[in-house]
Amino acid sequence: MNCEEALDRLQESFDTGGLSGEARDHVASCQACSVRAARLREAHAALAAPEAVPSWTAALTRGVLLRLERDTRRARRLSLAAAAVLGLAAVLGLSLLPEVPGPSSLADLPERARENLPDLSDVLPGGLGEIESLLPLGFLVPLLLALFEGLRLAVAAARRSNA
Amino acid sequence: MADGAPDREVLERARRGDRRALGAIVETCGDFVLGLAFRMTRDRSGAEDLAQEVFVRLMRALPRYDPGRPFLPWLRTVATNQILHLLTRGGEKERRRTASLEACAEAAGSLPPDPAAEAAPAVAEARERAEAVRRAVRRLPPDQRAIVALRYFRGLGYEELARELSLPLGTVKNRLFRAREALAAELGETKR
Repeated sequence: MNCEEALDRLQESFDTGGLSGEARDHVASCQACSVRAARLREAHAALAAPEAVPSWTAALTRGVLLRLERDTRRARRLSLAAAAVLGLAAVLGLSLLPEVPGPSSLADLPERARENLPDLSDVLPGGLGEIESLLPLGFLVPLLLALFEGLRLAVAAARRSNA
Repeated sequence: MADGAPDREVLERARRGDRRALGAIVETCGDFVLGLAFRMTRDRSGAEDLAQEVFVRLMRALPRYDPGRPFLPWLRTVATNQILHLLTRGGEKERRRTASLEACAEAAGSLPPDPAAEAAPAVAEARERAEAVRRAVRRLPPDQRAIVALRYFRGLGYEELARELSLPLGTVKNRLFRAREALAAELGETKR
């Protein structure tokens, strides 16, 4: 058995009890190991010694509850702020919608561009006018989603504040 | 640890954010969390700050607690991991704090001797020894401190330590042995 093995066995004996004769003999016969073993025993004894551990106090409980309340208030404020920002974005978006630049009709496209449009009569029996009727949805859907999300956050914040 | 776990109704109310129920849980488990934090920091004020922070995180994590599982083991595991996480994350800050504490201790050493300590040299020696152990523990890396605290404060064996910290058995033994070696070396230095 070498020194490291003997000292590992010694350390294991602190946790599990019982040191093998071989390890004990090695530690006793090896000068370096006996010095390290004495220090390890001392460290183990120092760690195992009972120590006055502070007790929990009512003031500490109050501190924790105050922190929790502060965090809840902050989260509520953040939710309300997020809802307000999203709502404002939605309102702004809706008010700007009629002013969005771009071709208002396929008829506004240059002639060459219109010629290059594929023939979609199979999938759009109503003709290209059907696409035109869908164009505003590209703006409205995200705006409606933003409004919905804003409302959802506001309701969640209101529920939390009532809880 | 506390004598018993908070009852199911208190836990349910706490999960819904009831202030009284939260307070009751903190009161019930306060000594355990503070004791563990103290064993890992060996500094009263640091342990109190740490324990409060751990409770705030524990209470936030409460909605994720599965009521079908026993509460105390859950709390012990979360508290241990949170203390370890906070110590690791705040490692640099804490090292600075330790250095400043040590500077204070050294400054205190240059003050005129305490008459009570002079009258009772054995008491003074024991106090000095305890302080040396505290300093030595504070110098250990957080992962080793956690093992030492759980081993000596909660009396956990190798298998339990491995389970609690989700570590292989060999790593647990290795960290514990290295922690003791470091402490032994530090205490040996103090003696000289």
